[in-house]
Amino acid sequence: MKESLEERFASIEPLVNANRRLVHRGRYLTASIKVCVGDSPFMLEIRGGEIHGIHRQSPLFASADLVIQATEEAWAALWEPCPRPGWHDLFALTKRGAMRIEGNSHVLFAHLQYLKDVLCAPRRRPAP
Amino acid sequence: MTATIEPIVGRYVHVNIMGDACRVYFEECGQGIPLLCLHTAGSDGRQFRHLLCDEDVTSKFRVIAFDMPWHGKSYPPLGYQDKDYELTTERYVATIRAFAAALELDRPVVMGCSIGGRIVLQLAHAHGEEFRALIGLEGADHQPPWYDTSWLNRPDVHGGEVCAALVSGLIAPQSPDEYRHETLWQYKQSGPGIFRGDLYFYRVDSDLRGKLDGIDTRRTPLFLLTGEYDFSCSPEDTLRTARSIPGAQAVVMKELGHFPMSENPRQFKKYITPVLQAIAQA
Repeated sequence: MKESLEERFASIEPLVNANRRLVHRGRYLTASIKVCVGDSPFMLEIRGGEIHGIHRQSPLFASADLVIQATEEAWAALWEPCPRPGWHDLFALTKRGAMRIEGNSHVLFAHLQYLKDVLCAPRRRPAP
Repeated sequence: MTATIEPIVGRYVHVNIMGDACRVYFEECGQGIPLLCLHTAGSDGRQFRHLLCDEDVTSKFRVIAFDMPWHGKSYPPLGYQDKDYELTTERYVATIRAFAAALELDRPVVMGCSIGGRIVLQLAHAHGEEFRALIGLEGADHQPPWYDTSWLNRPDVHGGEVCAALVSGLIAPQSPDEYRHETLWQYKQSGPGIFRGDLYFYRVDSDLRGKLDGIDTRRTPLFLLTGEYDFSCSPEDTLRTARSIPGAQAVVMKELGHFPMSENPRQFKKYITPVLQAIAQA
């Protein structure tokens, strides 16, 4: 059975935590990031570069350092093994209007490559 | 064991650019038609190292890549510490013309990438007769600004890391890891504020829309090549520009991004070879 987008997003936690180099690169980042996969919101908790949970349920008005929203089409395209031109990077998606990134931009830019790699982690996992 | 020594030779030339004495580093290889290569914003001439070592090219062209002042091994001019670096169209054109004159290049071909792809349009417009042909890689007359460049130079964000991370998405996913990370390393090594200062030219001082009249592509052929994964200077930007210049030839390059010559030299060669052949045979 094909994995849902939500399941692919949830795979970020084990994929990132198993990648010690990636965790090391994110060692100075502790943040809560709200990620919307289509209409489905998640709270991605990062502690010192490790993913400390991806929560489907979070209280109303829970604070987030960043809010990253994209259409299901955008996430699916970003996570293709070899994504199409214009659908291959967070900023490519943002520029074409398929993704919105809001909140504390300092968190984004101070940890930009780490966050790009975290959010693209499902790309490396072949769909069953 | 015999060490491999590349045929590239690096030297310094002292050039006066708009009143500033500049010590400019350049590398060259080959003989024949001078082919002057312009690096992207925030990087340096190393981006052309593969072209400089390609005997198919250097057997017909004298390939030259210089580091603009403030970049690579070229120091900034005296007093740089007292002002922010901002590249203007005037300074960029003056730099290229002064360097070409210093080396006594006879009607060189100029090939520039990104900001270099933009400036060749201005060269074609204002100084076309000085050049044998012009090649713009990832070039267009204008691109809409799409992010706040102040993030590229501030004390609480690592400049090298953020510049590299920002441009990493402009490299095609098919490009070999080795060359992807080499391309990014150049950004990590760039001086503080230099990428942003180059982008001043790109975003503020060089909207060439409607200003490119008088380009004679019969005298000076103009080639525009853009990678399909470049969302900064998109293929649409390049094709629109080419449509506005009679005789300009545009090609969209598959499986390439914003740094074709450095991110995937083998793939780039497929596209640049016919262009260089056409120039050599003209």
